Amino acid sequence: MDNEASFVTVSQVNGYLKTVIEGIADFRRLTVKGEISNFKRYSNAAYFDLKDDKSVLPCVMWSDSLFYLSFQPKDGDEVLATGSVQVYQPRGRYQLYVNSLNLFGQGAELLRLEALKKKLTSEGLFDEQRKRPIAEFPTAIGLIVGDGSAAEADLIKNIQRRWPLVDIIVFPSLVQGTDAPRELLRAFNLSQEYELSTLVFARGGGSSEDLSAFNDETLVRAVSKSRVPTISAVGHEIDFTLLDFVVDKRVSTPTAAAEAATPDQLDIKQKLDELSVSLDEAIGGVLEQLSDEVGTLSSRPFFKGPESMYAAATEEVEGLRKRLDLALFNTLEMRRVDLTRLGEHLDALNPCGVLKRGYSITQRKDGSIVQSVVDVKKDDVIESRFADGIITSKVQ
Amino acid sequence: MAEKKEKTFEDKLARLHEIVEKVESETLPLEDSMKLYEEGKALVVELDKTLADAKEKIGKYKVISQQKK
Repeated sequence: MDNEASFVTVSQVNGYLKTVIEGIADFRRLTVKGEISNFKRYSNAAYFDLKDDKSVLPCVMWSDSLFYLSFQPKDGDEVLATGSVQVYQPRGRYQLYVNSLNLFGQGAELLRLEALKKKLTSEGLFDEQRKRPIAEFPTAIGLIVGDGSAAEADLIKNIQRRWPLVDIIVFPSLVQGTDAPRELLRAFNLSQEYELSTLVFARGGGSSEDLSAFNDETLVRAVSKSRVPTISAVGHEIDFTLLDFVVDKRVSTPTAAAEAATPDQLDIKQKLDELSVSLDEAIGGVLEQLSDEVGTLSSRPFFKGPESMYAAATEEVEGLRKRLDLALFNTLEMRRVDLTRLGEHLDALNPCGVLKRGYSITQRKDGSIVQSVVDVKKDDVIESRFADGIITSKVQ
Repeated sequence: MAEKKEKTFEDKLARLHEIVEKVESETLPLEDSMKLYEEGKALVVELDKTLADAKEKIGKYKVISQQKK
């Protein structure tokens, strides 16, 4: 009977149970109604039972969930506990791991809200892509706040400290109580008639915890159609209202709303200073670059020694001049030699040379040479030129 | 209210950014750069003054109560 196949271990049983129970889809998230008993709180968790008239369900709530509790649970409280059923394997114990715990009355309201939220979500009213950017430089901001509330004063002070240029238009409204939803809606509708850059809903801390007016379906639907981007600062860090989901930006305090709605003039002034410096530097850069260019140009040899520009030409002219001189000289010299030769030649032809050898030339009065006897007639006067003189005679 | 309004602070700031960028690009003729530079410096002064003058508005706001409607 005690062979290996005939038994399983305790761990195996509990492990199997864990797989089965945690595999049930309905157990992964469920809300259980019951009365608290044996509530014990430790530093990292609270342990208690939920019971009705017939049964008891052990519960665990970790400290991170306890942190968000809106009340101090105690034995006897009628509550709605939301969480998952899981098995604690070492002890073979199934228990409800509670994520959120609310008093029953409050719980019912939360369930209603949860259903409304689901409906509006499915209609796309809360879609991220519907969110519009808040104007970076608003010209007019509308405030929907309690008349004379701390939130109003806080917003005005911070908006004007940060961005005094903006116009502020306040639309006072009740923010809690049965008339609040209707008043908020009227204030909102009124705001839509003004030229606003941004519309802020704000409600100061420290007042009643009643945020129900901001969960009003009609109001939420109206705000979803706001002509201008909206900001809400009505809830708390952990306490969302439906308005928070529908606005374009959600913050937790009026001061934060002022910051979301306006630029800080100190930042802008600094930016202006920086731009001014950038502009100076940019124009300085332009001028420097140009003056560098001028500098480079002016250091060219052309500007350093303008005469250098003519050097080549001067040299060429000089060369030409020399060639011309030489050519001229040569020509003259040639002529001179020719002339000498011609002179010598001419000397050889000089008739005076012939006369020296005993000849004479006979000329008439007019100087023409008598070459034949027929050139003269009787009584003509002729001159005979000898080497050493002239004899004048008369023809007979 | 649809007519052209005076340029807003935002428009002027955007223009200033544009000017700085243009002058920084250093591709413009000097005359254009100088013109832009002067326009830019004038904008800086004007925007500074706008902010300084706005202090007068502090503490002033309009209240539109629902009864008036």
